[in-house]
Amino acid sequence: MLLNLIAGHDEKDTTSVDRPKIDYTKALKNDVKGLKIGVPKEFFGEGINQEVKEALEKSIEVYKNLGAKIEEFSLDVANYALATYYIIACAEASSNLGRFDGIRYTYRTPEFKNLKELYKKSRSEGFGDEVKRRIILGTYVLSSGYYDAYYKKAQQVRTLVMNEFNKGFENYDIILTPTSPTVAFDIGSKSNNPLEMYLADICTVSVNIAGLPGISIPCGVDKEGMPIGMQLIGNKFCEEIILNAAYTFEQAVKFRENHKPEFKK
Amino acid sequence: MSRENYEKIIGLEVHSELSTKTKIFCSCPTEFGAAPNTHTCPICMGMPGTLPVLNEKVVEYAVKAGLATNCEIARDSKNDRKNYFYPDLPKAYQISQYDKPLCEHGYVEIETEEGKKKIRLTRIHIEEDAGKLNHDEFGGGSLVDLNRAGVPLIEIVSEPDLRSSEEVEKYLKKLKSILEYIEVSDCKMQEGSFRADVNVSVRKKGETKLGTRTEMKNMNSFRSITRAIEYEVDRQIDILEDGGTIEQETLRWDDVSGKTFSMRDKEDAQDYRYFPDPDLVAINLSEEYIENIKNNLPELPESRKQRYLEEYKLSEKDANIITSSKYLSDLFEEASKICNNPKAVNNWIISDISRILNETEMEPIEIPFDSKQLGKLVVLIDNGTISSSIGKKVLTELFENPRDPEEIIKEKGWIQISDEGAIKEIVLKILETNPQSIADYKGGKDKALGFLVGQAMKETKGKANPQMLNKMFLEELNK
Repeated sequence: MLLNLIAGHDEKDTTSVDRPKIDYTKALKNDVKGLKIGVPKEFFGEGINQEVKEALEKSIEVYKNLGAKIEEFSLDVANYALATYYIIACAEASSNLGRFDGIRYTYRTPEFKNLKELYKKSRSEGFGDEVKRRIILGTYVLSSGYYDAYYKKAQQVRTLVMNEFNKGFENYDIILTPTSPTVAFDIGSKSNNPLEMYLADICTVSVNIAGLPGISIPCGVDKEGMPIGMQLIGNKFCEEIILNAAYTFEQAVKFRENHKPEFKK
Repeated sequence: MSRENYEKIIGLEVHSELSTKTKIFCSCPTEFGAAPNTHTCPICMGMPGTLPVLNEKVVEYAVKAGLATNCEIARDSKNDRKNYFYPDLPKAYQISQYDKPLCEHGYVEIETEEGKKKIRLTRIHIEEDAGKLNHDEFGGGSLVDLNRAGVPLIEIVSEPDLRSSEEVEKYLKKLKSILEYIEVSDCKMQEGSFRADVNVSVRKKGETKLGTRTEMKNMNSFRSITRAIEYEVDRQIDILEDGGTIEQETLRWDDVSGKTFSMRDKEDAQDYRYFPDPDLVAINLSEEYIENIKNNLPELPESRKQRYLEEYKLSEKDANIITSSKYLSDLFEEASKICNNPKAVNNWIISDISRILNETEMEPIEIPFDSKQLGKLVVLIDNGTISSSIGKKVLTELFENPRDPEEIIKEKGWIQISDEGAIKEIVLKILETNPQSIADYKGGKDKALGFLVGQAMKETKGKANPQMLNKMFLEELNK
């Protein structure tokens, strides 16, 4: 319903595409017979938790039983997409967050001797560690002398990732992957190792980089009862297909009725 | 070694505000002089979460400027972000163009003593202006006025082809007149809508390598630009002559002391971290679009000049002066139509109007009267209602309080005395009080006649018809 409301062209956003609107609630047919689902083997290899793998394999069985055609294929993009994503996202963030400089927007340090110090102190005191980390990374990849090696290269790789996905969609309606290589970790448990934390995004950022619609739905739990996610990726403007596939899956496994969420103390 | 052995190398970056009704990325008005921060909205204030939408007029105007300066127009262009921190830049980045400007490889032709010279243009790109800081206006501190933030600019970058401050002035005047003619900018220098960054270096004559340059930012008067270049060239030559080296740095020209001061050197040169603005899409122009603009370009100064030489038989020098400004040129054409005497209109513009503009440091666009009033003035002189010396007084009035010239002369009682009886009375009176002049005239000094006419004009406060005076004095003297 939300998608129904936000879909469509926005003349105040020139990056939005002018296409006819679709009623997405009508797409929920509870039927996936004949749906071609591609399962990229690279998304089930090294680094993927065994329990996650098993839960996904069970889910694939569910789709098979519902009449979908499942096939394994090769889509070697995840590692590139992750690096690309962190370069582009940080670059944009470093620029987007520039306006929080204490002049007009956000926190301003109470004491400063000059303009430079006002900027330095406001931003040092106002931003958290993760944000600062991304600003520094983003500033670095845009700096003269590094731009070509990082930002420009990342944009080129982005095109390659898109091309790889396009090839996949020549054969499949949907690409099925885990949402995350592991189940959710405790808040703060990876703050000292940001790289490991970024790796948790490895399955999902490909979608952002390639500009594709994706949906993540719960498909199982590990032995501690932590939920495991499944990601369905569709081709550009094929939201109906993934919404229907997700809906059909949920109707079949009734995940929500069988698993009440529990919160760790 | 003397100064003559050095060559001056000058390149300019001209910023000209486009006269679109609305700003480049939002629909705020671009008008100058409004109360601070009244022409602002969430977009030009850079509020988090807002998105820019490119004003199509800005692209059209920039393409016009490019075509009028012989540029190649890019079919595929884009907007980039230039990141830097300054309080007048609310987003902390300026949306500009980096590696794909709208226009490239153009030129502007100027007239030099050695003939026509092409000044090559590297590029013309579009960008947004920043806000304005008001320092210490309300007791301490600086306040930001964002009315100007988001006003569209074109930046016109020239190659280092200029060799003297005279060439710079000619180039700027030419560029200004082109932009006025195609009606993309009003180029009001005092309001900062036409300003230049001046890059200066010197090298010994015969050298082919360019010297280290310095840059003087935001100059907005011909006089300061000329003075600043002369000063900077001297300063650089002095350093080189003393065996020193020029530092690449950004300078500020101070008009009061007549000196340049360092603003920042190469050490703290900024890294602007240019990258394509992800909030905006590429600018793709079709052949038809460009062709259409090309076909609808208004007449440019060069072609008007040619027409004035042929149609109105103006001298090259006069035609240059008049066509240097679209406003003068329009004034000339319209007033000429009204009075049917282009020669007279030309004379008024070249002599008295230009003089007053110079004295008052006014730009042609600020001339308070219109072409109808000037045309009428010429008509009144031509039909003998007033003399040309009264005409000058009327012109002064037009500058001070513009209204119908006929009203002015009635109000001031300036109508010319053309009545024969009245003229004769004056002539006789002047002759009576100047016997010496009569003797001089009779003795062969023709100059005495001029003196007598002058006396009569003085007597009548310039209202007597000079031709009639002349004629009647001759009659009386030759009796």
